[in-house]
Amino acid sequence: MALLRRPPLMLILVVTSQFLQLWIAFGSVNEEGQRQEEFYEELLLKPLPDRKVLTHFHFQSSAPPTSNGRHHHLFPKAISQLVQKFRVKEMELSFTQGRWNYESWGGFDSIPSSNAKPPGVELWAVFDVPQHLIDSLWKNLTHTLSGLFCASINFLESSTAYSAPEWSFPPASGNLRYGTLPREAVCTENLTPWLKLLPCRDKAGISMLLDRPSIYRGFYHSQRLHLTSTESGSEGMDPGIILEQTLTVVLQPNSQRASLAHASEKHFQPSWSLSSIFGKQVSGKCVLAETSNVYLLLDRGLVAELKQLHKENEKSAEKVLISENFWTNPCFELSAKPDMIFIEESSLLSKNSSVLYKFEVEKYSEFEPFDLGLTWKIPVVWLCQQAPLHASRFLMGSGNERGAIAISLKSTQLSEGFMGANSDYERCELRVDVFQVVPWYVKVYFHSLQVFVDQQPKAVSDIIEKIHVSPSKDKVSPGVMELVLKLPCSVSSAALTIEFDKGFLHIDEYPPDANQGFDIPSAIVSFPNFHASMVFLGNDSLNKSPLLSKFKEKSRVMSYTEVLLVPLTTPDFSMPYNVITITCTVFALYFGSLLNALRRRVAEEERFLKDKAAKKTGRLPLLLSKLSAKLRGRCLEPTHSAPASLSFINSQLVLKVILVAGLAVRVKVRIEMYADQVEGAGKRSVKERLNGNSFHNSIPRRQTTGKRQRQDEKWEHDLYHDDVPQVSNRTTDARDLRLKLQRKSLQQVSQSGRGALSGVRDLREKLSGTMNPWPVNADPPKLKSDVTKPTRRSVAVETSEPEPQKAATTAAKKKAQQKADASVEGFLQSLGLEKYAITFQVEEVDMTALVHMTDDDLKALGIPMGPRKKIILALESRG
Amino acid sequence: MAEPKEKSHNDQKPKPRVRPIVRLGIFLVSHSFLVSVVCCTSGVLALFLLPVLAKNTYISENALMPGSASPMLSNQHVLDGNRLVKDLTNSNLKSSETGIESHKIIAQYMLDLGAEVSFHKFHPQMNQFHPLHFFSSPDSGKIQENYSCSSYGINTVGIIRAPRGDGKEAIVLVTPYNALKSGFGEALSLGIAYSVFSLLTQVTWLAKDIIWLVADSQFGEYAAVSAWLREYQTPKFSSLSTLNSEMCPDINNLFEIKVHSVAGSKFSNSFRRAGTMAAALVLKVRDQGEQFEDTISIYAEASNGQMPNLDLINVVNYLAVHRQGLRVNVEKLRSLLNSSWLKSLGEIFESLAKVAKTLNPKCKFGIPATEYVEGTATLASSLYYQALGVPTGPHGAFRDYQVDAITLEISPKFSLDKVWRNDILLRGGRLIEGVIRSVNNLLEKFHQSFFLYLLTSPSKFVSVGVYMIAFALLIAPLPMVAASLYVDANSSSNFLKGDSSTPSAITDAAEHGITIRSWKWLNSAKLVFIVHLWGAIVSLLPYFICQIPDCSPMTSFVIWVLLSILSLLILNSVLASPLACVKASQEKEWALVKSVTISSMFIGLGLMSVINFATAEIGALLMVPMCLLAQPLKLDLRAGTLRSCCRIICNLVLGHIAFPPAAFFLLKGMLEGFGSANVGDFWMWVESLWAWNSATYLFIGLLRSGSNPLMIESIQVPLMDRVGACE
Repeated sequence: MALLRRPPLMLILVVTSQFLQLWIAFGSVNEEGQRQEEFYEELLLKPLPDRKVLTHFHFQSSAPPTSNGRHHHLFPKAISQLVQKFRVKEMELSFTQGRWNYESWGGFDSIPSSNAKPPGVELWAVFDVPQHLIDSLWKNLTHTLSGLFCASINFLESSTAYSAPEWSFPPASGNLRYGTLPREAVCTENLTPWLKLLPCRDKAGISMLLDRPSIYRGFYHSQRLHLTSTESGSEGMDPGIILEQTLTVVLQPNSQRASLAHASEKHFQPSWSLSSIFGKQVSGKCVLAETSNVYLLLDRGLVAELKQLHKENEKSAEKVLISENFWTNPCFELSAKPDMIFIEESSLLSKNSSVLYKFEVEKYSEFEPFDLGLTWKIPVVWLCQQAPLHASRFLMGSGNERGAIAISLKSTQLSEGFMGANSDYERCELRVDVFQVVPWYVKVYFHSLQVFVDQQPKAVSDIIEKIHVSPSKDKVSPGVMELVLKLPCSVSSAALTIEFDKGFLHIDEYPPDANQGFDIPSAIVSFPNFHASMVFLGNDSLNKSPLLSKFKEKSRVMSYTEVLLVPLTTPDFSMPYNVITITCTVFALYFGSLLNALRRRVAEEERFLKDKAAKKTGRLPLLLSKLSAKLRGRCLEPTHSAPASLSFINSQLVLKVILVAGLAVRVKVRIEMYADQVEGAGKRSVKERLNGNSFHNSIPRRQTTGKRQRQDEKWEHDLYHDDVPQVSNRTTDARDLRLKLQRKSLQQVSQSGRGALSGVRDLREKLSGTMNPWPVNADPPKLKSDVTKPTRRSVAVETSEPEPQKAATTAAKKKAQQKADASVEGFLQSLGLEKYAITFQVEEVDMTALVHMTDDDLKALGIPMGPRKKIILALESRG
Repeated sequence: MAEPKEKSHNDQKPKPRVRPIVRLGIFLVSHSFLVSVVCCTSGVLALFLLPVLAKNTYISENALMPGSASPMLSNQHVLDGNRLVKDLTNSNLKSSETGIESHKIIAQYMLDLGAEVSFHKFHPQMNQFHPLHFFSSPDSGKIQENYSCSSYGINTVGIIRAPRGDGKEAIVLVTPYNALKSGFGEALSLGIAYSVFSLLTQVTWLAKDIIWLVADSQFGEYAAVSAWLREYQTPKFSSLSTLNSEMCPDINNLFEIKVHSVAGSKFSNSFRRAGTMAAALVLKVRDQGEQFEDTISIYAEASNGQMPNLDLINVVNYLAVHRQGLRVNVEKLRSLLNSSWLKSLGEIFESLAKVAKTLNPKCKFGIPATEYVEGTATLASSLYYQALGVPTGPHGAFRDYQVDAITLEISPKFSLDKVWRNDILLRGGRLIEGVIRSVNNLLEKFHQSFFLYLLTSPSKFVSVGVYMIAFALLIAPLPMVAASLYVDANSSSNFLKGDSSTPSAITDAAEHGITIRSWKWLNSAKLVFIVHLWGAIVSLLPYFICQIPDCSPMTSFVIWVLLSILSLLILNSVLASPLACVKASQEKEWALVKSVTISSMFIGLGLMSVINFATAEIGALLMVPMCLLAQPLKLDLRAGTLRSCCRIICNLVLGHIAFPPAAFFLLKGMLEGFGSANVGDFWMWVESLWAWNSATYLFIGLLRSGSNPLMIESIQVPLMDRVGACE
């Protein structure tokens, strides 16, 4: 970006060749002979059997390990800061809408096995820290990502939302955390920040194609961000990071509907071009990209089918396929001439190999835009390669009490071919890993696990080789089940069932749309024996392409099952005031009096009353006796007539009724306020509300109303907190006083000038000011917005920085501590060891403590030898 | 009641305060006769007032938004549908001996649309009587070994996946179709469903998956749908069906539809599922319409009086009336439409409403007499079907799985020639499309509107809050009468003692007496319990009787009656014999028995009203008067006054009416004429009740027999008299 600001340099860049351009652009960075930051953009197109087209955008930026601080040329700074701060070793975040259709779009290739994701948001991350630190890092990471991508990823923060798979999740590691949000709606708001991470945004290069309406019209789109940071070799160096951004979209090209009516044309694949499916064309590459290629992949099934068709026509089918003019073959026609054609190295598993056409975008310009089109000449029908077993999951049973989850695995005919290749078919076994997370309110009975193979019940121990279960804890953690199944290769169908009870939720744990039901996130079924990899024969240029080298990697075949919707018992939220208060009142009155009537013995009571009447003056107050005398005096004559009882009823019942009504009104007001609170507080648990923030690093408040409210300053604060701690902290104390003043003036203002609309809020504020039953952290933004102009001017300077949410009483203590912390941090920074700052922070080591720390202490903290020595040396020199 | 009064009179002291609620209770109990007469009449009156009190329906779920989008179903889709109808009718003419051909056609059509297609083979499961399975959730059925290849049905299922949905929910469209002998109406209903289905494959607004189930109705519509639902919700993973399918050759034929017929074909042998079902629509077209208008009938009653959410009916009603111009019809008892007494009652209400209007012009009370009669007929049928507990259509199967479902039956005008056929296809298709679109809009499941209601017309309903009043009034006298009887039985003996002993000894004797007397009711409770036990035995007897092979309904009914009497005699001799020893104060004993019976009846009715209101209401109508009026024949005979004579007659009549077979024959005779009535019919009727797991059967068995102590007692008291005399 820095180089974009220099117009003459820019001019040179555009004009000169790529080689020269790279030389000039990164020459300055390159002084120490290190690798420079690189960016690749690639697009893969693939026709799918069910008349759709798969488009797969692949952008890769890499930042090499450098020692020159935090400056980046191409690599997004937000990501590198994130990696440094949270010590992320590997992370993947995906936003998906729609379902990947494993049957017709394939389940074996590298694209589905690494890019087919469950609907909603999926996030997993591996951290490079000791076990006990991971959870707090994960929580902070979710908040940062939620700010970065405008999504409610912060809901993954609560321990009920994420899990720690032990071994069934592919990058098997103990430091992994995994969480999904199946209900998250994905929209352009998530795509825009994702595009912002690209050096050229969507202004140039292949990403120009990303036309929002056409992407979101697609049948499936999954936007993914995968980053791996390589371990920093020597101390004081930033880790090298590879950021891989992919966007997988399945689109249906427009075709004439009327043609469907004709039986002959039903088999015709639709013809398409880039401009017809995206409505845009590529006008040249992104100048910052190393390579900018478009690939067209014809998968194995299609190539086999084409060969078959060729054989009917010509003899030398093989030659035609490879030959240079294949792009104008009798089956289909390409509108652009491919620069290179690759043929897959035939593997053991299948005889057929796929064909890849490569188009280099850099040859095209604005005047001659790149627009690849594919026109079919003959009808073609083929099938995509399937995973060995097709997994589907469904709910069993009915009612609101209990049910069962069933995972059914059906063998796909295509897999038989692979199995047959194995030498000893009889004894061969198919290994299947299943990973299932179940939220706590679905109480799974793990003992009820049943296994059926080929419709015969089997003993669990025969089939399940390894199982790891961590049962759910109510309101604390979800249930996790990891299984390794060993199925015979000849299996045609298998099923797992497991029963559950449906739990009850507390009233404030229900989401706003509680009646929709609750989601059970997708199970992951993976086949460790099978690896999807495509190795293309060709020259070295292939190795440069990150996309193709990704294909070359052996990735485990994985598939996600459907998200399930469990209907739970739901209270009727619609009329709590009318129904609950009135029925409670009626019931209280009715049952109270009924109980009274039943419990009382009439004769005994009479005796008691008689006794009482005899010694009437005993302990009755004067007033009451007078009143009763008066009453009796009037009622003596009509002893048991109705008026007597009526007057009696009036005197006491009216009082009671008034009392109850008053109570009801009170309850109603409370409920209303509570309802407001619930709306505001989202799914905050009670415990959290009580404790406030227990974590050292201020945990941001919940995103209240979904993704619309972007809290930019929040994550920025998270990120830059280290750099500017002094400024924000100095203001906290003074601010508290001012806040109080503000509140006072605000109340005055509100009392005088507020309309009826803000009445409720006033009351709440008052309550929160006096009683403090609700989190204080809800106040500052409100105050900010409510303060009228003159008062705002006086506090404008202070409120510009987001305040950490800390209780007012402990502010002073916190301040002191933070100052010390900061100095630790500053101290470490001066040594270039700021990445260990978090370790100290977690152990609450301030400067005074640090001075007294010995070598062993530091060792216990997990600090390596080199830095340890440095710190001790520095401390000695200080002391 | 009398006690405190007497005391206060005697003591001549200032009256000690008694709690108002106690006084009110005492007042009510002391005037129980008057109160019960007033309550019962007002209860019956309130029931007849219900059609007047009915409110207009309204759509309470905002997300439904029916009719907000203009229908997209075009003539092209109608032509598609017509093509299917033509193909089906042709195939029927060609080969009528097997229905497989038409299944293939339907599957092929679905495949051409790009839907996922699968066949579901099922064996009709005979409905069996499970004595204790009334309220349990449906189970996955038993494995029957003796399946034959000939008796199976094939459901064809097509699923459209929502393009951008997450597949968590689904909407089901059911068209019953009998491939062996299909009428034209069935083919037409398939045509409507197909035209909608072909539209839905193209639309982009779909958020829920669409399942189209072509239910093979050769064993009944309900059986096919419930078999599919059973497989969907509670599948069995270990079954013998695979073995069967291997043994039966022709079913494998069926699956040999060319898999590669279409690009990316989605045909499979395995059972296919979508997500949780949000709602289901069953679509039928009646063969010949006798109406002068295109009419659509809505059937909503599911098993045991469960109803779908009112919003679903409202949406259909709104779209049919305001968008498609169809007349909507709800089932009504036709025999009531012409009854003159209802008409006059309606006129009375109408004139009353006029009077009320003159007094207060704002008063909006009252409906025209004709409307009242129709409303009452609809209400009566609504009550009847809910009370019977037998679903009125295949939609009942869905309700067992908590899915809201209704059956829509389209009866077209006159004949179905070409023009009218297209018109019906278009309008019916647009109606279905509109309903599906509305349900598709739902974010949450149906929960806003009513589940407990009675319909008085397609656009009017009586909610639970209103109709419960009538019921509450009807059963309110029961506890009062029970209390008054109990007090009577106790106090009369107290008087005896009070007279004989000196006032100083009262306290001692009373205290002693209270402890003995307060447990006296246990004796009568035992009697009541025994009779209830007998009732349970009688209602379980059919389970054993139906095991007897080759039994005509007539003979089994006779066996039933004989066994019941036998069991009564045995029980009486074994358990109830101590009762015969009680000689003294028969009147008191009788009062105690009656009070215990009435209170048990009250409890039973109250519980039943929670489970199935309509059954409880009808039961209360029949039994409350009987319970209140019942009196031993002997005593009445002794009295010999005019009043007691009336009472005897009432007793006899009510006692007979409340006897289930008698009530059944009376009802049947009223509706169809007495000539057709047959003793065996009752057996058949009972058989159908338990086949549907209707709670009504259990209710009849237990509660009716529960009321029998009164009848038995009223006979037994004279008997015991005689025994006593002999001794």
